[in-house]
Amino acid sequence: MKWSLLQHLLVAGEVNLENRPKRKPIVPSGVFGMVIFIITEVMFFSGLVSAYLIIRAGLEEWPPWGQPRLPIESTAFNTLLLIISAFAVYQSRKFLKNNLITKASQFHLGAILLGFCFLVLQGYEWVQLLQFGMTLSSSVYGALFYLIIGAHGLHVFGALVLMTYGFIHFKREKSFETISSNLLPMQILWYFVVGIWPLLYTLVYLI
Amino acid sequence: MSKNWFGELKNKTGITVFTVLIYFTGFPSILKACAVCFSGTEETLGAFYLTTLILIILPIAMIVGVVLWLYKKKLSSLNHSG
Repeated sequence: MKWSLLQHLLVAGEVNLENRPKRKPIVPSGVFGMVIFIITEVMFFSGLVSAYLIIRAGLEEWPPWGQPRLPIESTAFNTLLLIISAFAVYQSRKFLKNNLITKASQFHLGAILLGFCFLVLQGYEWVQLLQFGMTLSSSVYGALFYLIIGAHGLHVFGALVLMTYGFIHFKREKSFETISSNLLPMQILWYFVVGIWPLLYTLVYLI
Repeated sequence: MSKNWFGELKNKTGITVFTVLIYFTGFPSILKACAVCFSGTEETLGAFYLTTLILIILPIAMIVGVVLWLYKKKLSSLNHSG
């Protein structure tokens, strides 16, 4: 038994590594890396939401007296924009699978523009709130609002940068398989950024 | 080492056991406190327990989910190749 194992190892040492059949990973490395990253992001947002829920449960009045009310309607419209952008990404992926690169790139660009609109509207909302006196240090309400919504806004910005980088790939690459595999991690990140927003909107704005 | 080293050791062990016992029986209320349990109301405690439970279950659920996903992917790739 031991001798056969040794023989096997000796033979294995003689095998030319270049002639070995290439192993294909069951999941692309980019996708797996993004999944791990998203797990950490889920925990990050869970921590923020937990702190928010605990602090809020301890206060009798919410929002505290003297603090402005959050714009529910305009943010609902903003939420809609973000959800439509996720559908645009989904549609882009569908076109890409059918090798319709031009249409796929158009929908991808549409998603980027919608995401950009979301950020601009959020920024406008923040300016209004700051003018009404709601700042990071005005109350725990303001601090939590800017922390949670700001963290999400930063993620949207980061994902938009990646999506724009992906859009450049549409122009550079010719093979739709390469485009598809390169884009998938960023699209997963975009789905996460969009998917977590309704939860944050409900917790911070509605309840 | 003195001749009565066994007695000294017994004394030291006794003091250690006594300290540990006092620590675990006398301070549980202090150990229970956390940085965010500032109000002490039932709602805060409820929110604290709920979020603690979520923060414990969530990472485990996600890791199990990823492992199952990889396992299914592996099975399907084996089915395709074989």
